[in-house]
Amino acid sequence: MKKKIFSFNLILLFTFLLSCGGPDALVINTVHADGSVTRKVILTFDKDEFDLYDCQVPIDSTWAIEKILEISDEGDSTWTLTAVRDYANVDLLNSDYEDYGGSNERMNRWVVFERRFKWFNTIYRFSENIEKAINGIPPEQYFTVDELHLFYMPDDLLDEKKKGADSLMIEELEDKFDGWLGESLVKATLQEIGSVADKIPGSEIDVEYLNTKSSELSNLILEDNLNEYEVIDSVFGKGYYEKHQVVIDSALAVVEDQFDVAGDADKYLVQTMMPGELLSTNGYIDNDGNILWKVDGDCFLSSDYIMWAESKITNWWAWIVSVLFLLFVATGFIFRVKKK
Amino acid sequence: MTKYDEIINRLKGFAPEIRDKEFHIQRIMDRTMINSRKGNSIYDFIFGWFNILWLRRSLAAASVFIVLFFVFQQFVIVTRIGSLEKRMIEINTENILENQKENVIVNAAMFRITDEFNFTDSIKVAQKDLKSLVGSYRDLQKRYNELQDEIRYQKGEALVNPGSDNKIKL
Repeated sequence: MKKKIFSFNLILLFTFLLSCGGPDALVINTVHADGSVTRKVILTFDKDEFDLYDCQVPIDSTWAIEKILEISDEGDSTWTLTAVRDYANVDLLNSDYEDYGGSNERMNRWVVFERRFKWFNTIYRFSENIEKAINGIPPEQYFTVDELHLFYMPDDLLDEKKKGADSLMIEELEDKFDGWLGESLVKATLQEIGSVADKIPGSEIDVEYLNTKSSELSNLILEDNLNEYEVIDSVFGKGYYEKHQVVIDSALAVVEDQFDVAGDADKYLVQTMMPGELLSTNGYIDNDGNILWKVDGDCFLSSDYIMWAESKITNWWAWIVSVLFLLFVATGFIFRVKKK
Repeated sequence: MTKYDEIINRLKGFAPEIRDKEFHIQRIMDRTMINSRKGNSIYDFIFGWFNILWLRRSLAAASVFIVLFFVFQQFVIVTRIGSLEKRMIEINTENILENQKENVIVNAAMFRITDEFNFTDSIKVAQKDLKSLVGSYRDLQKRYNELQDEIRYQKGEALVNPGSDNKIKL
């Protein structure tokens, strides 16, 4: 029998996924008003063994690369590789994402830059997007606003918060996270079963009936001592798995494959600097005024992860034109009143 | 009474009702004023438009629109900027890079531990717990070194290489 995929161990592995022993990456985008982007990638590792082609984001030898070795007071050595490239527009960046074959190659990523003229100001919007891995439950539908604030928070900050007043809330969030993950997997699997069943003539699977049992399934998949055969039979009745084994196994294989896109994600941090004054964002604003997002499997598991920021540049010439126009009209009316 | 007066009187008797009297009066007055003031001064040349009703109304409407648009846009901007406060966090790029360095050191230590200590009676420990243990150990080591330095400082000993002694390297 196929190895059980929805085990609690897997969830634990997923939740607490570390950075696979490779370099840690910080990706810094400096967005310019003309739509060009300067991208700087800072890789940190304990040895001078950087594989540029296996980095979390696309880098190659054409980038301006610099390496520094640092030895701390405690005698620990760390290597820092900084790679910089200027992109004339986001299309070139997207093209690099398409050609990328590194550790995150299965992540579907793209960048969007928009510029909107609003007379007094020009609004700039930059977003880095990652397509969702499975058709699960979007975090926005499952967690509260406060929980989401912690959910998307970079790990280092979250660790700091655990030591403070938010520790209880973070513990609750970790518990709730398991529930969300279970329900998302069940939703995606049931959808896939329905989709596979539709393609097989004479399939007797009633998708609506399956959906009525989704909460029972979600609770059971978190049980470590049950395999998928036992989970399915205990919810839908003895012999159900065997009867629909082909459909169920095909659906599980598809969902497992989709899940791996998020589960195998090599995490990194994205920092963005926008032109002009920052207006709004769904990222976190650090002390230097830069916008920060974490990228890991949780973030794009069941909903598209859109890391966006908007800023404005004041069009002073438009202000001057407007003020002169208003003065002109006002003066005209004053003359009219006087001449009457 | 001449024939002409007779016609005038008859026309007066059938005087048509003028709709929007004010508008027509204003229009006639405006036109006569333009003609009478044409070429009077530079001000009349620049602001002559105020005698033309439709132009005056259009410019007034444009002015009101600009003011309203400005107020609306500023309101939206101020509201959005105000909401950014909730997104602020206490970290900067330098901290991020420091954390990354610490992270790779801890990761490297973890891999060394798992490679070097492979006991037959070993138990499984979640990576996160192990990472937390190594991190705590490193933090403890750092504090211990600082304490040693402080004791030496209190004793009046010179700190040649602070924090370097009593190091137990993982």
